[in-house]
Amino acid sequence: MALLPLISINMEQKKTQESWFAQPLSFLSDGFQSLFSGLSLGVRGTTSEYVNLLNIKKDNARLQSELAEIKTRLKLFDESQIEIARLKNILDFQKNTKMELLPAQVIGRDMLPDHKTITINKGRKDGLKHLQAVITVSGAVGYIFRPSEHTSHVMLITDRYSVFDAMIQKTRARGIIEGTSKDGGILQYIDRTEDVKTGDIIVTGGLDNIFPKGFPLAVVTDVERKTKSASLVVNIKPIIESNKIEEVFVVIDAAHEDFFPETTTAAVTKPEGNN
Amino acid sequence: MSRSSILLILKLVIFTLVFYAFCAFQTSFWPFVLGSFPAPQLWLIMVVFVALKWPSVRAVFFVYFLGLIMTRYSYIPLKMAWTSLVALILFVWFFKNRIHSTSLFYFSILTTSGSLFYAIAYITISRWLEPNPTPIFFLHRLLEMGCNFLFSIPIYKFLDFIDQRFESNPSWGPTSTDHASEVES
Repeated sequence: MALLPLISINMEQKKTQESWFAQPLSFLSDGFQSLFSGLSLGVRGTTSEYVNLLNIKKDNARLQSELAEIKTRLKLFDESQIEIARLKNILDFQKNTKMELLPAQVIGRDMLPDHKTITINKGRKDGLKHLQAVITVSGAVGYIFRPSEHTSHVMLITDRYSVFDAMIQKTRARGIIEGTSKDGGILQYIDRTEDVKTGDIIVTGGLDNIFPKGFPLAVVTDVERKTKSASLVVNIKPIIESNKIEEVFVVIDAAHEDFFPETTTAAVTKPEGNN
Repeated sequence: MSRSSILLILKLVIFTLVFYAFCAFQTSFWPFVLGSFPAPQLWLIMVVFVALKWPSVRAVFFVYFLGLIMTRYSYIPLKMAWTSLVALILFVWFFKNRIHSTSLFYFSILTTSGSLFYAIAYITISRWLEPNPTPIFFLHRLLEMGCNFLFSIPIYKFLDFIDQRFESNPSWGPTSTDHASEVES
C-alpha cells in the first residue's frame, strides 16, 4: 500500500505517454465532455436565440414603425416634389405671358353627369365676369358662365351646351367645337376637302372673344367623311382632362396675345399638362 | 305665431340646409375623395322622402324650391329640373297610394326605382325639350342607383329623425289632452 503513491509519482513523470489503461477512460471522458459541451452550447445558443428573438421582436416593431414613418415621409416628399414642379410650371407660365391672369382653385364639380361644369374659388369680388376664359398651362378649360360673389361656375368645353370657335393648327381650317357631355366633343363645319388627321391639334380661333387665338383646345380622335355632307365630322378629345383639373387661370385681360404654333405644341407636350 | 307654424318653418329651413349640405357633399367632397366614381344622389333620396312623407301641396312646392337650389350646383336648366322632379314626385305618389308600408326596405326599393325612373324621365324629357339631348351614361347611372340604394337607409333614418323632431302632430306620439277628453266624452 505504501508503494502506490510512489508508483503514481513515477507515472506522473511520464505525462507524454498515456498508459494503456487510462486511454479508454480518457476516450469516454472526452466523449462525454464533448457531448455535454455540445449540449451546453446548444442550450446556450437556444437560450441566447430566444433572448435575441425577444429583442428582435422589439427591434422589428421599432424598425417597422420607423420604416412606415420614412415611407410616409418619402411619399409626402414625392408629392411635394410633384406639386413644386407643377406650381413652378404654373408660375413660369404666369410670368412668361403678357396676359393678366388670376389663379383659382377648383372647389366643386357638376352635380349631374349630364353637364360638365366646375366651380372655382374666385368670384365677382375678385373681378370675375361672365364669359371670361378659363385656362391651364396646357390648354383651354372653358369659360365663366355664372359668377357669384365668392365663387364662379365654369362651363367646360365638353359640356353639350358649350360652343367654341376653333381651328386646326396645321391647316388653319376653322370650325365650331360643340361639347357632347361625354369626355369629348365634335368639331363641325370643317370643309370635307380639308386634310384632317387623327392626332391633329385644335386651337382656339379667337373669334368668340373669349379665348386668345391659338391656345390649345383639343386633339382630333376620329374623322368621319359622310358622303352626303359638305363638311367633315371631326371627333375631338380635350387636351385637359376635366376630372383632373385642380388649379386654373382666369384670363382677366388677354392683352391681344396670340399663341404661335411652336408655343402651343410645346405646351401640349408638357407631361404635367393637366394643371 | 302658433307653435305648429314655428315648427313647420323650422322644419323647412332645416330641410333646405340639409339639401344644400347634400348637394355640396356630392359636388365638392365626393369627387375629390373618390374621383370620378359616381356619387350617391342624396338630393334625390331627400326628394323621394319629401314626396312620400309630406302632405302633397307642401311637398310639391318644396320640391320646386329644391329644384331651384339644384340649378346652383349644376348647369341643369330650370325647365329640366322642375319637369323631371315633378315626374319623380308623381312616380312616388303612384306607389304611395297603392302600397302602404313603413318599412325601411320599402323606402330603399322606392328610392332605387325612383332613381331609375328619374334617369329615364330625364333622358326622355331632354330629348323632348333640349336641342342637344343628354347622353344615356348607362354605367354611370347604374352605379348611381346602386349607391342610392346603399345610402337610402342611413339618409332615411336621418331625415326621419329631423322630420319627427319638428312634427307638431306626431303620428305615434302621446294623445293630446283635447283629443283624450273628446274620446272620454
